[in-house]
Formats: sequence, structure tokens, C-alpha cells
Amino acid sequence: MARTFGGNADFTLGATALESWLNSITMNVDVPVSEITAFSDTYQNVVAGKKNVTLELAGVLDTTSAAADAIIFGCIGKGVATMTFKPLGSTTAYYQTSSSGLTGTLVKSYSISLPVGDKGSFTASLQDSASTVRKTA
Amino acid sequence: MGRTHAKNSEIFVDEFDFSGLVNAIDIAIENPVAEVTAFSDTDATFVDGKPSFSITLNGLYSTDYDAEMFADLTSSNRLLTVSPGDSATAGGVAYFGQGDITSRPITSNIGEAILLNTTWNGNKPLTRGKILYRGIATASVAGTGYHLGAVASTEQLIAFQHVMSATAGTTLITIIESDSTSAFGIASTAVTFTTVSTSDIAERKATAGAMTDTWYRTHMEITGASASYDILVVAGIAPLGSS
Repeated sequence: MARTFGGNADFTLGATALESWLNSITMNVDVPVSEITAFSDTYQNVVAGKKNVTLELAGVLDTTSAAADAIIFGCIGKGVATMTFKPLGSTTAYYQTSSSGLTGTLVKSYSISLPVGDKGSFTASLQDSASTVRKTA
Repeated sequence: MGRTHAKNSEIFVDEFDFSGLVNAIDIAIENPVAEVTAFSDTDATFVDGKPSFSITLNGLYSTDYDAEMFADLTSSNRLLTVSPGDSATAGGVAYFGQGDITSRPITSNIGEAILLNTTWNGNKPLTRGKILYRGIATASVAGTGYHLGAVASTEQLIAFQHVMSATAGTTLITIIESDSTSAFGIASTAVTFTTVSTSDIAERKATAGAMTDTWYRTHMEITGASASYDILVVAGIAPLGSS
């Protein structure tokens, strides 16, 4: 089992690869649990609900038309898009949403920061909807 | 342009260029997705909400900046245009939107510059478009054409004109023309701004789709001797809705 450096992740939203502008990707998977503890249980007992997948992106601003800024802004309010996140930057194992009906990835928020003494940068929050699958090539 | 430093960003508020007093700009867009998970879904399921935006400017206090920001507290539908990263030049990207000022703290501490920060909440869609013209126009001129794309029937062409200075006794009419090619052989009028004469002014125009033309340029008609207009014109495509 190999320990992994985080320097080579790939990320695609829609049909566009965004890793040339991203410097941080965090994928959160929350599973709401409901307590079902009964008198006969020794410990508290819970059952799992449906998992909820969100992603936090951060990167460097580039205003060219094929860069992350244009792609992410173009997805706001436009319904679901496909998403592929490859933590290793290879096809060994990756996470993916398709884009159909309610299934896909939505842009939940997008922020641009322009400080006079630093680079232009952005952050985005994405909400996966209906189904996120883990695949292996 | 590639990855970029923010040092040459510019901010225009109505008929003012406040780039000389602002040292940080934050644009925030929120899309409140609504959960619609049903029994048959594999994962939690969501649908889009209605996006909103805010723009926060970190500024340095000056009396003229303060006066305008104070006046805007009781005005509505102010027009903000941000040129991110690079100085505003024709062909560059711009974010622009209409909003109301919601916060403007003045911070004055001994030994530090006096700060005047402002936050604006949008009341129309934030548009990501292009700068069609930036500069000082002294005579009638057709600008360079830029590709924005076709406007679908569910979209609209949004355009802002910021006139930072005008010459008394002269007039300016700015038209945005469209065509299917960059040659503008058969140009059509997409937007006509209100005639400007003696007053600095900013104006927002919206033209509903569908428009099949994909190229856009400014065409300025200026009359009068020794005219000089300091102008920024931006245009982009936004979802059709509240115009």
C-alpha cells in the first residue's frame, strides 16, 4: 500500500480539465446517520442515510476563455455537469458524476479574490447530486 | 493571459474609476441549491437555486470617494465593473453587475491609513463578458470587434457604459453593433445607449435574445468641437429573467 503525494491530481468539470489552475481539491462525503438505539443495545446504535458529496476547489485566476474561471462561472445556475476527480492524476481510481436528469455536479458558490499584493485567485464549492461513483480503470 | 497577479485590477462604480483608492476586490456568487432527495436516489440529490452575488471593495478613505459611497447609500441600482488582474483594455475580461450598497464601514486607527470598505449586493445577474471599449474618444469611431457568441432565446445581451468624463457642448451616442463575422460587413444595432452630453454618467442596457450574431463592437457618434469622453463599455451574455 503506497502513501501518496498530492501534487498530481486531475479534475474535470464538464468537458474541461481544470488541474492547470487548481491548487487544492477537497472532496467531502457526509453520511447522515439516525440513532436507533434500543433498550437491548449495549452501545448506542445508528443506521446510515444517503451519502452527500461536496467538493471544495481553490486555484489561481486566469481569465482566458478555456481556463477554470470561465468554465466554473459558466456552470452557475446551468444545472448539472459531469465531474471527474482523480486524486492520483492517473486512472487507477477516481470519482465521477455523469450528467443526466438530476444526476451530476452543481456549482454552489464561486468567489474571486483580487488583492493588490497577491495573485488573483478563486474558490468554488460544488455539490454532487444523485450519484457519485468510484471507478477503477 | 495566463495565471495572473491581481496588482493591476480595476474597479469602476457608475461614472467613477476608483482603482486608485481600492486595494482588494472580492466577488462572491452563491447558488442556494435545494435538496430534493427521494427514496429511489443513490445519494443526496439537489437542484439549482437562484444565484446571487456580492462585491466587496477594500478601499482607502478620501473625501470624494466617501462622498460618492455615502450618496450611494440612498441610491439604488449602482453599476459595478471589475477588470480582474489586468488593467482594463479592450478585449479583456470583465465582471459586471448592478447592485445596492449594503455596508460601508470607515475604520480610523492611530498610525494607520483610514479605510473605507464597501459591500454591494447584486440585484441583477452578474455577467462575465468582455471590454468592448476603454479609452478617451474625441471623435466618431468604430471600435474593434470581439467575439461574445450568439444569444439564445433564454439569454440576454447585457451592456454597461461608464462615462467618467464628458465635454460640455458636445454629445456622445454609443451603439453596440453585432454581426456574424469580425468584418462587420452587415452590422446590426444590438444596443443604443442614451445620448451623453455634459454629465458623467453610467448606464445599463439589456437586449433579449435570440440573436444569432456572435461578434460585437462599439460605434461612437461624437458631435461638437474639442470633444473628449473617458469611456468604458462592457458587454456579455446573461440568463434571461429580470432585465
